[in-house]
Amino acid sequence: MKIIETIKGDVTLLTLSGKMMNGPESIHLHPYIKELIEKSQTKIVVDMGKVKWFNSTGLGALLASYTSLCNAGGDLRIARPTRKIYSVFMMTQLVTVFKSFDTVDEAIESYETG
Amino acid sequence: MTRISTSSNPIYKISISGSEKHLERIKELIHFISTQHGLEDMEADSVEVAIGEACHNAFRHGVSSNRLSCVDLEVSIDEKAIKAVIRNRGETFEFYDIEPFNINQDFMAYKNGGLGIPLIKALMDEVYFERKPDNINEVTLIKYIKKKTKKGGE
Repeated sequence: MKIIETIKGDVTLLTLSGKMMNGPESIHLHPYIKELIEKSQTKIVVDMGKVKWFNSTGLGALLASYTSLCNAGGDLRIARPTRKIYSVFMMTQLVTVFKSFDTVDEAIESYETG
Repeated sequence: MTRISTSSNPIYKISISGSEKHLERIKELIHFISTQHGLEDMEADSVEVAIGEACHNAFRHGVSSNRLSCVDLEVSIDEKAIKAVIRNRGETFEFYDIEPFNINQDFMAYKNGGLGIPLIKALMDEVYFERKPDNINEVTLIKYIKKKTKKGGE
């Protein structure tokens, strides 16, 4: 899995691509987020539109990242979840945890309204 | 892959040996079969993800400890449910001690993995584990097919 970081005002956009599943590359997301928190970058949008495959390892990394951000007073919002990812969010009630948006712009702008 | 079809209710038997490299294609096939038999996309996604997790676990905890073994997947479907049975040879584990995933848990518990079985239990309607002779682990996953509601409340 690849992570590309872009700063959009006070929001940090992380564009993920590739396989968000087994192996250290998925678990890498959480340490990456913790480094952002240390730099006071706590408004995070994760763009998942280019994530090809997704499983429990990727979901675990997202959940740990979300928790760390919330503990630091921030948030992790999801842009462009694939249908499969959104299905898992729905079936596990994670739609009530992760705020998800159809576009990256909507996700970034959502921080302006709280 | 073997398809045993004596009626409109097929049984697919797939043996996956050596590695997980074909697993994604198998999951796509399961999604296709599921939707062809009346599951909504969201439910088919759940079945696909759950079976993928179960197969991954079987590879991770079975094949790695015994390179000669493989994962056998049997998928059967009828008008009521889709059922998947995953068998592998490997170490046993306390399947029933693991709680289904729920959003009130401490998510940090999953930062290094361990979400596979909780996720399977959350995504499927019924999940069973049985330890069979000859160190065989058998996991059975069932998802019921909900009848699609027609527009206009018919």
